[in-house]
Amino acid sequence: MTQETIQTAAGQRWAGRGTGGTTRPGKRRTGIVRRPKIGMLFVMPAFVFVAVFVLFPLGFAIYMSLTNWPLIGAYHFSGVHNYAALGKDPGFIHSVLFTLLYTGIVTVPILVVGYGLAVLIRSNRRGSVFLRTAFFLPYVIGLPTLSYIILLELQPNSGAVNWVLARLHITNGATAWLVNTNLALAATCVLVIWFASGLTMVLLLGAMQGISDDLYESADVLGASWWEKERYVTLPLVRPTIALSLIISIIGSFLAFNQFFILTQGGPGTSTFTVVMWIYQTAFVQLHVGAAAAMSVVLIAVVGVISFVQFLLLRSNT
Amino acid sequence: MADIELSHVDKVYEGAEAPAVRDLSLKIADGEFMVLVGPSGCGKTTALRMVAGLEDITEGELRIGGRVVNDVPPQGRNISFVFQNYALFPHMTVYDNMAFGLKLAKVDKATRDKRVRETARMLGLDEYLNRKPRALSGGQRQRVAMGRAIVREPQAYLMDEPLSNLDAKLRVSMRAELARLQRDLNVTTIYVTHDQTEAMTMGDRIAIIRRGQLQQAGAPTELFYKPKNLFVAEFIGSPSINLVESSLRADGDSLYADVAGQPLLIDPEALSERPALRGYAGKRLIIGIRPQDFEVGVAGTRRRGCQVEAKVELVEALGTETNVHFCVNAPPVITDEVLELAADLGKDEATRVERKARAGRNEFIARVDPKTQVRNGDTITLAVDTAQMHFFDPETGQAIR
Repeated sequence: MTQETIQTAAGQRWAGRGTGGTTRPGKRRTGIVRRPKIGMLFVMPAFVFVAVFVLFPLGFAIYMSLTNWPLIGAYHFSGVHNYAALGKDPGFIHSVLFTLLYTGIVTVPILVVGYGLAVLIRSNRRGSVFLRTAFFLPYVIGLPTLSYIILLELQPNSGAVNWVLARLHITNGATAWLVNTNLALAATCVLVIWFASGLTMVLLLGAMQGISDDLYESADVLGASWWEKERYVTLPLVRPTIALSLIISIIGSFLAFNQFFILTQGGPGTSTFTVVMWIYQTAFVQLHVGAAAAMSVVLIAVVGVISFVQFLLLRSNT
Repeated sequence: MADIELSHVDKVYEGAEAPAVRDLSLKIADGEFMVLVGPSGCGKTTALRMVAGLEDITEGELRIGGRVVNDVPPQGRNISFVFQNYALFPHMTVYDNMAFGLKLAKVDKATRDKRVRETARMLGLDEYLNRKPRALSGGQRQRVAMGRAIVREPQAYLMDEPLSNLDAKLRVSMRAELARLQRDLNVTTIYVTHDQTEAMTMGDRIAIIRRGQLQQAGAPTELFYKPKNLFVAEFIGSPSINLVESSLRADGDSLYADVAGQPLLIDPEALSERPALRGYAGKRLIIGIRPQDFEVGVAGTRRRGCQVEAKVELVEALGTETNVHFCVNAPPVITDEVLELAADLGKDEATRVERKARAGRNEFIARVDPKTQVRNGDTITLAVDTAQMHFFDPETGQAIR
């Protein structure tokens, strides 16, 4: 049978149905019913959760930042004193600069390595599932655990790092990694790149796999080389995801704590104190909880601004 | 520009039971518009993709412009491919989409600009050059895909069902436009479709493929009037050919075909063109009569043994033609070919054919003059143009010649 006759037959079937069951206007159901009270009920559990674990602590932190809150005992309201004092706290300023330096070092390598790994495993070649797991494993294990592993392996006399380097005749095998600011920073950066590029890889892999094969075949026929396909097809199409993973890794770097707390404890001296470590130091070592709260509020504001900018950028992209 | 030649080409996918394309030999002349047509999954797209270099050729040889290109990647074949869903780059404007191929070919900017604008004008795309594909209608996207193919001035166009994503009306107008465009540009084209109307109206030649094998290749009229087998006869033509099982009876020099108890005299000319037919005297065979080879009994055509009585079951007056459905008193012809083509049209059609088979109803369609006053329930006399009848072997499905 041909398509024409089928269409005609179908048309007749519909015509027959139309005469049998006419629509009754009175009983028509409307698509969306506005019932705000019931809607609120559905939102309630999530709202309660956010209120208890986000909004209340945030409000409380802002309140504390306006007082001279000690950990225990009486406190009094001190206005914006804590905020004004931030600029005069050399430890805080140093930690901000150090955090910026650290962010500047790791951000691009995380993206480049993550992108490279995604390219490596995106084809369904044999072994790509294994590699995918292997590359993402550090992220799953978590930064504290990785930091402890690295801490062990960086030990001058027992760690694997020095042993390997000595065998390769690169060092004499006695490098004290974590007592030198530059070496400690370098080691931590390598650790973090290893840790975080897995996440970037997964994000970019998702984006790359969302690109239709047709586009690559089309580019093939148009004469594009591998590199041209990457540059003119893949890169522009994963750009929003690149922006997203950049923001995630920048925010992650701004909030860096575990790796330095475990590997260097801020040392030597206070040279590797990040902002969050300094907040911790101020709150729980120096017991200036009010001042620490003020730092936290500033940090939250900065992270909030970055997120907002990212939101705007991504929205204008789509 | 170039000719394309496939010789004994096979495609076997890893792990597949049957080859997707089997021993396909086809020569497409320079500037020719060749349509590959067949039901879904018949291997026509695979064949096209092999020509493009998007699939490896398992066995056989492919030449473009005389050069064996089996191992040449798509980049080196200088062909344009139009994808079913157009495969436009969503992040590029219409202009950039069209200019991309030229940019990759390192064509200088001024030439590039000139060619893109010329092609855009030809396709009526000038005012959309700065739009992204998502801001275009389906028809416009289709044009951009065409433009991207044309602007490169390739050796050949390969098109994979380029009109199937358009609505019916647009498809008809684009069909004509595309065919005209190809004639003007005179570039070798291979066009894949599963729509036989598209194939008939567009192609210089049509190649019908079934289960990876070429059934017949030839001009549209050749396929229509001289189908090599049941599949081709059933596939080409709309409404499709009426089939009935019959037996031949010799009476002197004349042969009569028994169609549902009514003897039809086989046209002597048709008989002399098909010498093998005499060998089927007293045997079963399948007879095919095209809907347009019926005529409501008009004076002059009423020759003895050339008419059948029919009780009209349904009249479809389409304006330009009228289709009269009637039942003949013979079991329906349900062959593999019929079932396969019904299944290709969808579940409804497949179940309809099955139901017909179970009920033993053989429904014929006659396409008659729209001015004829025929009503449901009438009993009419239909003259059959027995010179145009088709005869097939019931076992092999091959046309009897």
